[in-house]
Amino acid sequence: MKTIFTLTISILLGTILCGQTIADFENFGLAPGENINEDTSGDGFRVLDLALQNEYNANYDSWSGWAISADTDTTTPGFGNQYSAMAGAGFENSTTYAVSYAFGENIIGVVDGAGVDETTVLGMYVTNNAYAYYSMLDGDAYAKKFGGITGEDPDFYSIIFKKYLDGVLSTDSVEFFLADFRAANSDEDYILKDWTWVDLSSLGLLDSLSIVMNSSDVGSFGINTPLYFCVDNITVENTSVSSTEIKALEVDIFPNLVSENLTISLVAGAKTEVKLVSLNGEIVFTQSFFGGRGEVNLSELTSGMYILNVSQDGKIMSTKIIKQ
Amino acid sequence: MLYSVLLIHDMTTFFKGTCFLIFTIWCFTALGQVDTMALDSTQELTLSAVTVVSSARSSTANRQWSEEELVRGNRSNIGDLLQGSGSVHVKSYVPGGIATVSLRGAGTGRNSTTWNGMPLQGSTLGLLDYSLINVMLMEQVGVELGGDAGRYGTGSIGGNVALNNRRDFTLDEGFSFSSKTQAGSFGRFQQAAKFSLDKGKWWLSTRLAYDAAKNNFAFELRSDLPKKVNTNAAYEQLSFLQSIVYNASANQSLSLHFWTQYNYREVPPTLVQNISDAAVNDDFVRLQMIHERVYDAGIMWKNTLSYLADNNKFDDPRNGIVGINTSRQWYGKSKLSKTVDNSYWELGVSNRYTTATTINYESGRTQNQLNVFAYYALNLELWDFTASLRQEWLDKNVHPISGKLAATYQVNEELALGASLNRFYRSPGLNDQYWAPGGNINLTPERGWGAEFSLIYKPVKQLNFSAIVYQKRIENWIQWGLLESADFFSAINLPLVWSRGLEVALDYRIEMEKSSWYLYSAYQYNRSTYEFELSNPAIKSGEQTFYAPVNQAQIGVEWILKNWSAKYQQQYQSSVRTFTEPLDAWSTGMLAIGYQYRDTYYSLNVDNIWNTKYQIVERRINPGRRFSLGMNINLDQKFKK
Repeated sequence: MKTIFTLTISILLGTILCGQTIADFENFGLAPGENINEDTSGDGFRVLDLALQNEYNANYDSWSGWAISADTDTTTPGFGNQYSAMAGAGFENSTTYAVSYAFGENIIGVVDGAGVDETTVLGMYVTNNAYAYYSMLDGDAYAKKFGGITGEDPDFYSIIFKKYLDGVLSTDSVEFFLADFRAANSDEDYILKDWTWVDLSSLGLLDSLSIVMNSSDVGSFGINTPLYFCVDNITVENTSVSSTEIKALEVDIFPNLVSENLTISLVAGAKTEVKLVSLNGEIVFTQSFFGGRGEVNLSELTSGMYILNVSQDGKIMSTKIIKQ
Repeated sequence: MLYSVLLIHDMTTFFKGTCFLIFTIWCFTALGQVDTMALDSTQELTLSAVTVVSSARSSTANRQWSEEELVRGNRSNIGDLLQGSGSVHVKSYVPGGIATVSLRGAGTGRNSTTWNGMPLQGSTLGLLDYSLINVMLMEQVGVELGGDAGRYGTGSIGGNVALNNRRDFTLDEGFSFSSKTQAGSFGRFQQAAKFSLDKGKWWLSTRLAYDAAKNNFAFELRSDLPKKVNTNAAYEQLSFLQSIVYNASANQSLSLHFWTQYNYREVPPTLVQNISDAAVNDDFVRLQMIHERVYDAGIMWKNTLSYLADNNKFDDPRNGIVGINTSRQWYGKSKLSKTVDNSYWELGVSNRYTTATTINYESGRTQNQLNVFAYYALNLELWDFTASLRQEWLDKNVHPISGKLAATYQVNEELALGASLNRFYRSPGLNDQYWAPGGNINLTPERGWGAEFSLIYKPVKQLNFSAIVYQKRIENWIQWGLLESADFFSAINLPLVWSRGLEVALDYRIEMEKSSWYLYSAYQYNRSTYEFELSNPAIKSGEQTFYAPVNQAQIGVEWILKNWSAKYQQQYQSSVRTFTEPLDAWSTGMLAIGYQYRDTYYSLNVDNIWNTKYQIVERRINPGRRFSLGMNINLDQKFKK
């Protein structure tokens, strides 16, 4: 099984029941097909209490750091399609998301808004950028197709998240694999193209999030794989009045280690939507029910770890479950 | 950008129009001569000696290919020609593909190339793509290893490649025609022709060449995997070079060389790439005018004026990349020279002014290189001395004085010893200075010292042995790297690259009654090491430089019997370090068989005869066994006096 998370079992199985704010980038007001690669404020793209760095060169219309995008092109390979997410839209078909591109470290900073300059980033949804996706799928003049000449190379492309707190970079990290060809069975090889949740709650309180890309395709000039990926719905603990507060959904889920039926118990009785997502981003199960209690049969599901999303009345809850 | 596109369109039209015009003039000139001269009916058509022998085989640091060898060999361009000739590393993965050259491990861009004495390497990258020069366009090609910045200027560190058009017509007055037709594996086809006319005060020579291949060869990456076929690898090259020489008097001549070319080349996918539809279009016009006059005092005054217009377009529609690069160069040189008894001296000044545009320059960029140079040679009974000296001003910056001192001593009839001391430099290219992002206007030129000792031993007439040891220290090495906390690569000066090596060669000739044998072998050892540390690219002190083989060797045999000739050569190259994974050592064999029948020479060539799987460029594979059939016709006709 692919090792993706470094969380402890208790964290993996716990539910996040505190107040959350979600940076969904819709505040930039982009229409589908548009993007912004220049931050004119000089302070980084601001979304809620987060600042996403951007370096822009007007002479060449080039940038690094972060861009904000609503591009929807999932079929065109190459540098010319550097702003598109392979999911074709933002998370859950929203319009806008962010694109990361940096040679070295990319930063999401917590800004000093409403008296807050540190917070806990609970997680975010990520997916591959179209340029990087097709480079890994087919190769290009500089980077290899994953699997290599024989299709057997144990290639990978991942994001390593760390945190800064009081200027000190943590040693703990969370590594998420946007593409993974390391499995013994090549049928399990994947290049992510759907939005997938990355749980960063284990990093705890931080004043900025450090993001560094890692790849198996490395030459003397560093990583050959295009250093892009896309981000949406960065979820942080609710700390600011300027945030769009998403109330936590109070829900009981049991058992934690499920073999057949998973029971979801809620206080309220409105329509509840349940979505189960594999670690490579595929939605493997959806179901909705009314009433305070629902039961989901997971007996047909392959053993492994999954992300469970439960939403009701604009409130959400995400957790991980293990199918035995 | 629009200007560049229009310019390319205009260049193509210009090319066609100019070809037609010059051919028309030429034909009228030739036809006009027929009225005034009669063919000598008693004169037999002369044939050259039967041979496929290349003089570029071993033994010394200087190698030359004659016009005959260029016409008869199966190599279509200079890049292919230089492959397997001593301390020359040609970085090319497919016939007709881009070919850059590194001499003695100095790295591409650190050797000079001259065309009739004028520098030909570009001012943008400092490189020259040798695949763009068809061998049929030149009458003489030479490689001088070791470099001489005093004579050849910037970049002459590893050595110099000389390309010459010269009046090589042995008849007093007459007509010469030679053609070269080759067809072979992977859709290869070449047709080239050369017409020369020598009459009265005029000498005209017209060279036309067409060369193309599909390069759709199959290759096997591993025995348990299905074969793959190289795709998007075709090229097509059309060249035209016209020389007109007018001898106004015994002491004065005017030469005009006009060279234009169009080249289309597809870029195949790498071994780790499924698809590529990228292609490169190159076209250029090169115009050169040389005036020579000898004065009563025996002083020759030679003036050269040249104009070069180069256009390059890289188009990769799949990845949405279009790159258009243009450069224009004006070059002028004025030189005085004189031979006095056993000595020769020359003194001159040259200026090269370059303008270049690319989307990655903030605006059109210019570079001016003003040079003052001198050369002296003295031949004594046992000693030969040469000295060269050059001072360059790059824009407003004064570069270090460069030059070379060399001496050869003939110990006895069998043994000669030589030594040289070389001070060289290399100006940063326009890309190094102005490429955005990363160009660095504050770069200083590379410079350094080199020394060389040589021994030539000929104990008997048939045996020839030579050995050369050399070392070179290149300071201020220009390298693109990622500096700490930077988001892009930039050009920087780094302290030192140290290059040293050994070249030995041994050849033996056996002359028999009806046949002759020629056996030759050569070995080159080169250690070129970075003497600094860098994190990106990952360089450690003491590591071999990229694409510099430590060991190279060639061994071969040639056999001639009456009208038949045959040649076999095996060459070896040790593993090289690349920007990704290192490439394995390889060894390939080449067989050439020729037969002369009257004025026609037929040849069969087999390259990579043992079908060796090998790579010269990372993530690229070279073709396996390939055949070519050739036919060369050579006619010389004297005019009746």
